[in-house]
Amino acid sequence: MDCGTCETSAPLEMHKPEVVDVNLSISDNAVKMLGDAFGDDRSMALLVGVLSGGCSGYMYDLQIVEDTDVDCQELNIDGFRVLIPNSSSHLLNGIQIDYEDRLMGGGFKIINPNAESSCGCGESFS
Amino acid sequence: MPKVAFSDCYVTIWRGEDCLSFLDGLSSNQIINLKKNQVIQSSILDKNAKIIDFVTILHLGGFLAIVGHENNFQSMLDFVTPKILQSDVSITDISKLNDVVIIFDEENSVPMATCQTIDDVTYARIRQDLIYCIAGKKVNFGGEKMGDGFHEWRIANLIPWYEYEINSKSIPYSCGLNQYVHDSKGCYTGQEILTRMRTRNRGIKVLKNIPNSKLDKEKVTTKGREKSLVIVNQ
Repeated sequence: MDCGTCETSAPLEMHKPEVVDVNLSISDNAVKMLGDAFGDDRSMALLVGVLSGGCSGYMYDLQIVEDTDVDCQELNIDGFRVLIPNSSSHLLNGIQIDYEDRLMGGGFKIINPNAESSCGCGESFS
Repeated sequence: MPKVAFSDCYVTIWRGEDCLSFLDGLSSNQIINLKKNQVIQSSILDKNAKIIDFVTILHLGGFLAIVGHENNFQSMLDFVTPKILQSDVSITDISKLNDVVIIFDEENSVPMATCQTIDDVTYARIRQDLIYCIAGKKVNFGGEKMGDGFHEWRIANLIPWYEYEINSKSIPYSCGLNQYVHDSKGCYTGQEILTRMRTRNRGIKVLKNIPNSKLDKEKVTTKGREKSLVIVNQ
């Protein structure tokens, strides 16, 4: 097989969406739960990312991190550091982070105005 | 040796640390555990579980080679590339540098589900009697035009093929790709629909070969000399 390594085959041009300045909000319930998770240490940040996959094509990825190598924009929402990767900023602008306190299907939820549809568990969207 | 050219295919090289996990999240079969020199096939689905492409994935160490159908190439790229986001994945189209030839109906020394490169030709054994060969154009590996012999073999062995059974209107459970849907791998695009079909046992179809003399109202997808491929309820 000729893998093109020694040829001039350039990688295909990738879809590079425009980076947008993200606005997001966090519901009162989510603020409370984040407060419990972070404690008094506000040096940590909430990384809100998007990964490919899930039933609908994209999946939310929430992490509490100290720092990240990913190119991010940093927001301060209700005293919490929130990091949004620039590569997925177009998918996350306008979201609300909510928390649902339920035994089944509970946890952090993302309400995303950019999502055309989402899967049953709410973790994936398109 | 039955050897036909898969002339309407594309070959891409995928590089980057996240290739396997990225592909796994978009494909119906489990890709994540693919090891060097292994080969696997899987369908890439949209959120409605319609087939974007059915691909053959070769793990060649530092990169993956992916073979799919030429007619699906653009829709595959349109689907995949916006999802790369911050993942370490880069794709190169090497279709013009290579020929893909299919050897069928013959035993071969390449172990099952593996690939190996011999004299600049990469052999990937898909099934006991089916091998994909990817050869640089310079090798001039040959291969006859895909014709009746290949399709008769497909009919006998219940192998679905592009534009016959596999198309953008079908889902894996309606075109004979049932075995490429992993039951328990977790979320991937289209999974919710396939799982619902499976658990409710609704809408799942299978590929069958039926003698032409016994064909009734079945929808024939590949017409053979004596038998034809049809898709029927399970």
